[in-house]
Amino acid sequence: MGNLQILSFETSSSICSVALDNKSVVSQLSEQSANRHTEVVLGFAQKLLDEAGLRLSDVSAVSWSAGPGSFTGLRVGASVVQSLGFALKIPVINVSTLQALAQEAYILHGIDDVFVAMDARMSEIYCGYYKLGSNNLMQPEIDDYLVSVEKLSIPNCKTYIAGNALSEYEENICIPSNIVGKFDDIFPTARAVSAIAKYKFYKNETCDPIKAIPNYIRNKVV
Amino acid sequence: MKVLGIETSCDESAAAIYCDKDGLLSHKVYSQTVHSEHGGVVPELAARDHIRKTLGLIEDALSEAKCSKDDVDAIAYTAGPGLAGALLVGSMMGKTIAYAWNKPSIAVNHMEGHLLAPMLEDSAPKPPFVALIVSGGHTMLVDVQQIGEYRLLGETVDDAAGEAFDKVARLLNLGKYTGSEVAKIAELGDKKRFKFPRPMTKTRNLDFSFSGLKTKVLYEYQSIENPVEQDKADIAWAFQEAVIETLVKKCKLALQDTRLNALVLAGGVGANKYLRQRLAEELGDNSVFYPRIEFCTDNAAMIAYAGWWNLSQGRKDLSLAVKVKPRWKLV
Repeated sequence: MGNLQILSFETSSSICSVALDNKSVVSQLSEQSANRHTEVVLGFAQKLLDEAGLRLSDVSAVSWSAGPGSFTGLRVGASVVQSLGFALKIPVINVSTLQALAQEAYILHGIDDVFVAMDARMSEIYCGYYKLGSNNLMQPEIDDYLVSVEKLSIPNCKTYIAGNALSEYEENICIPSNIVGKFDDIFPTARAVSAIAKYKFYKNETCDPIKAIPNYIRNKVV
Repeated sequence: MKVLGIETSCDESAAAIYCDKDGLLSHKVYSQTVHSEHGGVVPELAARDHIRKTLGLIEDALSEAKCSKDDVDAIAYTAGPGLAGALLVGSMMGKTIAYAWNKPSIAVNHMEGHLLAPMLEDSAPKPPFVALIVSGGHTMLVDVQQIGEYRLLGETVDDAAGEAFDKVARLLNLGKYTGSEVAKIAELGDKKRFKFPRPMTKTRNLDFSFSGLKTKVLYEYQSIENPVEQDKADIAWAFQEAVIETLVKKCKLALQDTRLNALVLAGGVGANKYLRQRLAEELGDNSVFYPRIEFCTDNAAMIAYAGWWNLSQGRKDLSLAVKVKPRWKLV
């Protein structure tokens, strides 16, 4: 149990990040690399392993940010973890991108109650509501969902709001009076995915590599 | 030497194992069905389906070939041309498996794969030859002096021949709107009722144009009051004959110009029976080479083979960066 190594991937936005949890020491590489995720993602993984003095075959499980997010970005992540899981015969852990975003808000600012709103383009927003649970992990209060900007309804309670939808649709979003603060510059990261994945690994919430399929949420694409 | 090939450039997910000693060991193809109701391939749906199916096909191809990690020497994947989102899935998977297994990878040009598909047959052609690559995305004549040494002789200036077939299937409202439905109904057509022009055949030029023919079909069809199946069959025949006579004529011209005497037919339209028959009549059975029907349409056997060939020439890629090339030109 003490020798757990998890490699985590976050490719759902314009930022590509990879994290390595090596016996609870987490390191991360990230880059604002829109449209270049395919070129950098495996190099990041190898660099992290090199720095930790590990080989890819030492990795116990891979995890990834499984959506919602950029369709293409999610498929970069899915292709990588399906292939690593298959080739190394290790399990995959699917993590909600919005949960990772909430977790990153906790990591950065200690926020324990957050409504997340990520730009889904086409005047729509991916939303989720998370609160800090056991093990210092942000847990969903409701299922992640997709909503149009006009129909967005933010709970009027003492919570924070985080995500890039706030700046994208600034003029169209009405912030309720009880909101404590807002962060439009927080993105999901691989280190946040990694924190959630480790917990899921111990709870046996892993899957076969072939089951690492993006949760697009937006399924009407034609 | 054994090569795992992966193909996801359009609406077929495929994986195969080619061995230079024992030939093709396995090949698996899944043809997507999600597009039929949309009258054409929807890129986003194609990419989504590749993510669901490709790994399973890779596993099946390996297990049928009784191959494990240690038996595979390299991994070849289609890097282009094709749909960007679709190419990404197979490319990223190919590169990642190669990385995890510490093997070289090879980015294969899909068109080179088609061109080399007849090499998988017992009666494989020997270069030099002229290749006609004709599919839903391409129509081109290539002078192949040797494998890897290609010269473009001519190509379509607008629609690919297969694309024209697909569009005509839609205009005539045939079944699932696939080009093969046009070929099927054409067999019942009256061969004398319509005569359509043979585009770009009046000059000694090896380029093609098929979009005008498609418009001709539209006008003829619209001019018929209450068209019945026979009308559709008659138009389909005239259309197919115009396309195929044009292809045959240009192939003959290409062989004359290059002074070569062997023709290789590749790509999805290469499965068209009438095209095969007409080429054999005009050029003689011994001069025309084509792969079996299942290797005309997209498959990974040809990608594994092309990967092996490139590897045998010392080309391989040990980098960890993947670049898909949706517009990668063969020549």
